[in-house]
This record gives sequence, structure tokens and C-alpha cells, in this order.
Amino acid sequence: MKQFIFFFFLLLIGFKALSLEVTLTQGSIKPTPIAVTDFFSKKNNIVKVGKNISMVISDNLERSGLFLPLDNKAFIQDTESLAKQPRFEDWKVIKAQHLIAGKIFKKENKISVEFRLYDVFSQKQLIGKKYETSEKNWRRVAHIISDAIFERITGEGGYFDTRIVYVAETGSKVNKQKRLAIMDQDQANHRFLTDGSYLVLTPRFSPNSQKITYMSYVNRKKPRVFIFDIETGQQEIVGEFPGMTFAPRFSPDGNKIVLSYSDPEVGNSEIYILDLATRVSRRITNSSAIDVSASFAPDGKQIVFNSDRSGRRHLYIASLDGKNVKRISRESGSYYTPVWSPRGDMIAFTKQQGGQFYIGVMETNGLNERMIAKSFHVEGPTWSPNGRYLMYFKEERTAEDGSGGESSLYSIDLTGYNERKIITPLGGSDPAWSPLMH
Amino acid sequence: MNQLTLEKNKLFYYLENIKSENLGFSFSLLLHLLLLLFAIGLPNFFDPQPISIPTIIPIEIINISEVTSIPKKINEIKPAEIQQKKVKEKKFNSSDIQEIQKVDIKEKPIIKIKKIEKNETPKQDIVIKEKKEIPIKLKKEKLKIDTNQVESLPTKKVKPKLKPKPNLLIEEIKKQPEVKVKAKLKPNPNPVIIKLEKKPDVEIKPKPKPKQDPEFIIASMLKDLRNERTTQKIENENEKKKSEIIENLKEESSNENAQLTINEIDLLRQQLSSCWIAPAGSVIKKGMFVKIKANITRERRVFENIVHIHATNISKNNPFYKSITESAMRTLLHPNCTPLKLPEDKYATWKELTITLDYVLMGG
Repeated sequence: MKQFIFFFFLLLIGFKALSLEVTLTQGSIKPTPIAVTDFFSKKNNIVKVGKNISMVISDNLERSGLFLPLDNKAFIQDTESLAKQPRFEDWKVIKAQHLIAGKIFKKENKISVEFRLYDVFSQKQLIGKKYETSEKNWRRVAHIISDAIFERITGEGGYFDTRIVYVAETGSKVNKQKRLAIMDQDQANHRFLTDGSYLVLTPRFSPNSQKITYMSYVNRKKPRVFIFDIETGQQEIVGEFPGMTFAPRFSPDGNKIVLSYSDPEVGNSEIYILDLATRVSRRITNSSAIDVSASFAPDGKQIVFNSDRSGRRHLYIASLDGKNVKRISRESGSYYTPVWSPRGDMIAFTKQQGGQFYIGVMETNGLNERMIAKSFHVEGPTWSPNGRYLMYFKEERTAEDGSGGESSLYSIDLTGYNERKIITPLGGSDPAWSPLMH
Repeated sequence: MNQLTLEKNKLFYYLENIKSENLGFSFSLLLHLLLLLFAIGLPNFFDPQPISIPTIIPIEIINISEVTSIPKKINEIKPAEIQQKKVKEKKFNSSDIQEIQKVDIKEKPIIKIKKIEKNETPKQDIVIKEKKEIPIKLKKEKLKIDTNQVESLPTKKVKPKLKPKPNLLIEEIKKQPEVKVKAKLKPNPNPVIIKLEKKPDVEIKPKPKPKQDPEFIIASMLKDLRNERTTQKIENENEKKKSEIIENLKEESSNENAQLTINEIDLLRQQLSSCWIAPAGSVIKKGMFVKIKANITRERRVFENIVHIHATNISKNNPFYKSITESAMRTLLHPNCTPLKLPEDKYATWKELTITLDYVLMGG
């Protein structure tokens, strides 16, 4: 027994090996270098599709600000041999941290697209997927692949297979024509949904991205909330309200709409929730102040809205029964258009202070307020489905002669970096980002 | 003290007189304890003294470490030592060489056995190979210098008289294993190895002679003092090389207990920091850390590209767990960190490397 115990301790002591320990506290944060290669095909008629898919993926990743796609002129290994087996040393030389390779096959009218994402340093495959679709859907496939890559590398959901609906604007400031327009998040497949014969404002997507609710002046005297079906092009008025309804937004389950209703008898506006199935509306707020711009929390249990009940416009949170109303904005200035993040952890808003407009974010309890964009006029933030990016519109100052004053869409990272202008055929305002479509 | 001994005796008495029905339980307890200790690890009883690294204050580190941390250079052999070697060499005493060989065998394990094996006959015994390996190494060193020296010799007259000398050296070294093999094993007295060893001698020896009479060589060398001087020079150089190698080996063995200097650690930290790229897009909170571990080869590369997560306080349910830990592991595999800036002579201290990536400044 004694020997056993002695041996036991000797054994344990033997396990202890020498090791050098180093602690690092400061690394670097920079875009990840990534090599996106053309998707390989043996058939010449779909080689171009392979190149296009690769280009869309590369552009998507670059636009995110988190990736640095490498110039394909620097690639050493050709796509044909890469389709068989990557030579990691060749990719290490050009300092690619990740490598995307793919193949395309065509069978009758369908294409099957296969891609693999590699970690070059550890020399292993991270994901590999295959999609089958008709050839005309190649762009959608590219977005879906981009999402898969983004999610695997960052750990955060993608946002590339999404669409943007916004108000396209033309004409002078006093006589602006406003139309509903929709496009992919990368500005492709742009089309107008309305003809501009009536004014439209504040379009918002439904959770399934198939419907849009917005405010329109179809009847010029009485602005009303509508629902537009993207597939059929049909639109309908939401609810029978004697007064003005505006600032609508879908609930997370898509069964309800929260909107502001201005009762002509009372004069002020209150927040209402309308059940789309029963068309029954329920009043949420009840005060003498103006309560507008409500937005659901992702869990659907609370709303955030803005109200002037404290004298200035501030942000408030309330439960769906109208109780537990709590002011969350604490700083000076006026707050507008609050939007709850899809992650549920933050609220984006527009703020006006000292002759400037800001796009800012704060935690749901009002803490850690910070501004991420500033201009003469910025307004209307909308979240990307992963809660990492915001889109808003920025209006230029109008010159004395009446020129200028155009508004454009911009996207920005939650950190306040990587602000990018969204190119649209006309001026743009009131953007709304759709949820993921796949 | 007596009480302690008494208690110890009590313990052993208990262990020896343990009841059979409790034996299973006791063993189970012991094995659980073993598993627990295996999982948690032991306190560092036998580790070298911990390197006290002061709290890191972000400062610019100037690359001076490589200069300050340079190990003892081979050329820095004291002249007194060289003189001693010179005196010894003059004696042509084979016992000197024997001594050197013994040191080599003890202190340095042979690494390049395979290379020699290719040239050797496959039937060779392992013991023979190992013993032959060291003389070959030494000779290679010698011969390189010899060729230089011979080329720089001023007169042709000296050359022919010099010829036997390198042979003598080679023969002497060759004879060592032969004698031993014959005495101990008698497996294959065929001197194939000797012939193979001669290959690099071609440049020095225009006509290689299989066996030389040592008496003849000594006699011929005594004829010409000038020759002796030149041969002495060559021998001295050889000896110098020998001693250098021995010194290196000694140094290496002594460095097993050596510790990295602060400069060396700073240099490594600086290199690793440049390779540590936090995962873009991931939500990192202050206080998060990832501890990675890897075995490092002598070439200062991660062994088989395998890096392990040793410890982390990031929950696996965290959606960013994968991206954060993977990016942490990538730090050691980054091309800029291959090879690692570590002193080769202190391999024992860094053959296992643990890096803690603390997001204290990067989180939030």
C-alpha cells in the first residue's frame, strides 16, 4: 500500500510539464482578409455565373466592413485545382485568413452551387453547403452563401439576403413626388411599388417580408395606414378610424400592427394596437400628450414610443396593456422615431439637439446613449436583421435658390464606423430593412 | 515532528488493516482523487521559479531584444581554452578523441541518424550507428575547415606531406567504432561505414589510403617543422570546432533550466500581439479571456498546427464562442508568428506554450 501511494504521487508529479505562459491584453481589430475565388465550372456557359456569384459574395463581405476581400490577381492556386483540394500554403503566402471556393453544375434548367469555406491558418474546412435553384436565382444564392459565411466567421446572423423598402423622392422641396420603392440590400433588383400619384410615408416590412405597411395620403384630407402585398400588388386600408392614422409597424408575429391615431375629437394622438385578423383595435396610451412612433420589442411584450408628456419629446417604454410606462431617455434634446433592435438589447432613435440631428443608440434601460451619425438632417433609423447595422436617410441643406435638399439613404455599423451611401435611382428617405428572407 | 511521524504511521496502519468491504470504496475514492487531480492539475512544485511579469502598461516596445538576448556565440571561446586544446592536439593521443566522443554520446542525442542510414548498409546495428554518428559530425566540421585551410596553404611542397594527416584523423575516429563493435558485438566487421565517411574527404585527399601506419605518419611529420606547424594549425582549428560543439552541447544542456528573460518574453508578446486579431463583428465583453496551449517544435512552429483551448470563461452558449475561440487559436498559426521569436537554446522552457488572450482592453 505504501508503495502504491508513493508510486501514485510520483506519477502525478511526472505529469507536470514545463510550460511558458504569456498573457496578451492588446491585439488588433481589423477586417478579416478573405480570398473569394470564382466558382469553378467545366461548362463555359455557366462560367460567368460562377464569376458573378463570387463577385456578389465578395462585395457583400466587403460592404459589411468586417472583411477585406483580397485581389484575385494575387491568387496563386487556380480555381480548377482549388475545386479538388486547396493548397493552404499558397493562400497563407497572400495572408488570406479564410478561403471561399465553390463549384457550379448545370442540370437542364437548374444549377447546383456548392461552396466551401476554409480556415487557411488551421487548414480545415469550416462549412460546406450546396444549393439547387434555377439559374435566374443566382444572385439570391450568392446572398444566402454570403450569410452562411458571415454567420460562420463572426458568430452573428447574416443580413445579405434581405430587401430594403423606402420612399423614392423626386421634384422640388415644395412639390415632391414620393413613391414606394423596393430593392435588394445591395441595391440590385430595384423597382417602384407605387406610381407617385399619392404621397407615401413610413413604409415597414412584415416579419415574413411579403407585406409592407405604410401611411398614405390616398385621400388627401385624411392620411391612413395601408398594407401592401408585394407579390400581388394589392393594398388595403387598415382599420376604420375616423381620424388620422400614421406611423404603423408590424408586431414580431405579424398578426398585429401598432400605430398612432389622432382622434379629431380629442386632438392629440395615442398609440393603438390593431389585430389584423379581427380588425379590433386597442388603445395603449392614454394621456393628454402626443404619443407617436411606437415600435415592438422583439419578444412582442413591450413597446417603445416617443411622447412629449414631460414637456419635450422623450422615449418611453410601456407594456402592451399600457401599464409600466417608463421614460428611458435622460439627456437633453428631443428624441424621435425609436426602433427596438432585433437583438433586443438596444434602441435606435433620432435626436435633435442644438440645430443638429443625430442617429443614436441606447440600451433598453436608457443607459449608454451614444450618437453614431450626425448631420444637418438625419432621421428614420432602421435595423438590419442581425442588429449590427443601421440604415437611415440624410438630407442635404437646401441652398438659398431652392436647389439641393436631396435626401439619400445611408448605412452604418453600430459602432459608428463604415458609413456607406446607398445608391438609389432617385432620392430616398424612410428606409425599412426587411428580415432575412430565407 | 514525533507527532507527525505518529500520524503517518497511523495512516499506514489504517491503510494496511483496511477491511475488505471498505477496500473497494477506498480504491474508488483514490481513483476519483486521481481523476480530479488529473483534471485540475497539481500545484507547481517542480516548476522553475515563476517569471514575474509586471502589470502590463501599454508602451512602445523597441526591438532590442534580439540583441540583448543573444546566447553565447560560438566564436566567443576563450583564447586560453584554445591554447589548451593546441597543447593537447600535439600529442596525437587517441584518448583525447575518445574523451570527446564520450561527451558527445552522453550529452547530445543523435538527430540526423536517418541521413546516415541512407548511406549505410541496412544491416548495421543500431548501436553501431549511434556511435558512429558523432565522429561523422565532428569530421564534417573539421573537413570543412580543412579544405579552406588547405586551399590557403602557400606552397605545393607542403601538400603531399600533409596528405596523410587528415587521413590519420579520420582513421583514428573510424577506428573507434570498429574496435568497439568488434569487442562487443562482432556483427559486421566490414568497414563500410568508414568508406562512407570518407566521401567528404575527397577534396582533401587526392588518393585516399585505406590504412595508414601511425608511426610512419608521425615520422614523416617530424621531418618538416613547417609541415608540423601547418598541420598543427589545422588540428587546432579542428579542435577548436570540436570544443565549440561541445561547448554548445553543454550550453544546451545547461539551458534546460534556463529561463526566458523579460526582453525575450516582451519580444514574443509583441510578435503574438500583432498576430492576435479579434474576431470582427463578435460581441466581446471586458473580462473575457481565452487560454490557448500548443506544443512548439524546435523550429519554433506549432506542432502539427494543433492549438488547444486550455481554458476560457466564455460560455459555449454564447453565439460568439466559436468565432472568439477560433480567432484566438489563429493567433499562434498566423504566418507572422511562424516561426515564433524564441531563443533556440532555451527550447526546454518554451516547448509547451500557453497564451492567455485577455480582452480587458479590447472588450466592450
